[in-house]
Amino acid sequence: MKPGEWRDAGQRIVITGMGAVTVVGDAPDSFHDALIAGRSGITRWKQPRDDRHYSRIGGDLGDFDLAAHLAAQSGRYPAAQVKHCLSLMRAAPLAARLVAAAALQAWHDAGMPMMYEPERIGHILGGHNLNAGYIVENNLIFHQDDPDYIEPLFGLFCLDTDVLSATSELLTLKGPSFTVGGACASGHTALLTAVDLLRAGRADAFVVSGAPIELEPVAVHSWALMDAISFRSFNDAPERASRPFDSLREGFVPSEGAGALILETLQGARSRHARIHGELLGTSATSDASRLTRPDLQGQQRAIRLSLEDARISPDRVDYVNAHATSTPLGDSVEVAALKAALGTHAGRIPVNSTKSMIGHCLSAAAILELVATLQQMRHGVVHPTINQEQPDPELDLDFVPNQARAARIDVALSNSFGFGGINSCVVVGRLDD
Amino acid sequence: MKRDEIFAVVRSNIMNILDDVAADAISEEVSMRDLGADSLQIVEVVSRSMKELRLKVHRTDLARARNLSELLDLFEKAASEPT
Repeated sequence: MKPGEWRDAGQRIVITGMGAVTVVGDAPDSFHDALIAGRSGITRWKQPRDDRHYSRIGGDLGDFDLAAHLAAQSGRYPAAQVKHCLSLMRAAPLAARLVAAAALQAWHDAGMPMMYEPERIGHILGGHNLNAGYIVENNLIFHQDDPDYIEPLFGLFCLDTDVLSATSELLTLKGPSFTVGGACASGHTALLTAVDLLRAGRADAFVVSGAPIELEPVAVHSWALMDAISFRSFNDAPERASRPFDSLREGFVPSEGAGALILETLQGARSRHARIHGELLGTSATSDASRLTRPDLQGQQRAIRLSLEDARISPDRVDYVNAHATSTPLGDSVEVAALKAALGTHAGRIPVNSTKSMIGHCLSAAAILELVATLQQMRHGVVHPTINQEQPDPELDLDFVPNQARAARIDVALSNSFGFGGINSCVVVGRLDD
Repeated sequence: MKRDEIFAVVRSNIMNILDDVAADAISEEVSMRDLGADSLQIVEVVSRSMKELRLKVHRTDLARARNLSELLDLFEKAASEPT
């Protein structure tokens, strides 16, 4: 089947549930409100770090309190489910707790599991290296204290699949369930996988989660040594550090967060009268055949074009782009060039913003969170700003919605995600055309 | 270290790790299985208690403990031995 031919078979996929836990809001609505207000969630790291580490700033959810988060839901979730969640997550590392919180939001937002059997609901988790910090900590205990004093369930928790399985147990998801890794494009590759599985009839619905990579000091320092992150100019003003497209940008700002979506067929959603947030019109995934971090214009352009072909959408029908836009000098430039190449002059006529300017780069959770942001903007008829636009880069001349939100009708949106190692994945979503 | 001090640590971990176990249900005569623990919860209670008490019992010996009393015997013995 060629891109787009799925439409002839009537296999339309919609999004009926959303969840988000971020440094600016711990639910889709508070997340959206913060984005529209242009509020940054970037701070100094909350736990003291060794002075030798270059990195001082990021999006830190290390103090996320799951019990308080669930208590604040004020009866939205059944008490037994809250109890089960707290029991499952009692000793679990950060990623499992964040994914569970986001997935519960999406689950109840979608009114699940009404009508579906557990065996027909799957879970695709986008992300990898999720518990890196936990692994580092236990290696220190093993070598510096005593091998018998490592965390008792390390053998389970060191696996990314534990993050998936804990939420699958919580929600009784017995359909196809596994993790999909695509570096910073993991969320989109997870969506693509779930869409293909739904079209193949392997399940009726999916939880698609975007999981965080716990920001342990070794990896963060390594990114500083690679000159990939911001660590020079904004340590005393962390909220100014993530500044995609601005001429003072100096690298991405690593951050934590988790998102979740519920995907199902349009037919299924309509038969159970579910509220539909949007239609997932097209997906794509390409490789640059390169292990490097260097973005590739051809690869990005091809990913954008393939997602539009899959959606059967001509470039001039795109109303809005949620850019990958990590705030790296080269990455932002290449993405602007790729958008111009793929969308032509139309790229200059539509808003192109960066959610990462406020929440930082949530790595493998980024794509799902940015799709939540996109669907919320579509629903509310407004585009959030790209903040920290102080000194425009003369080479980058698209409409980045600088510093101020504004009204905009979005019928079709494109979301880009480009990962280390030349992994490119784009998603096109649309307002449902009844 | 006194036996009741060791028992207090084990009891605390049982209550923290197992769901819905009342303090007065935890006596030396019962096993963690009796209290509803699964195999991973038993590993967790034993490992966390040993770390907290800064003592070590080999896994082969731990497997022979049939109830909390026998577990406490092993812990008491390990606590009395020089490390």
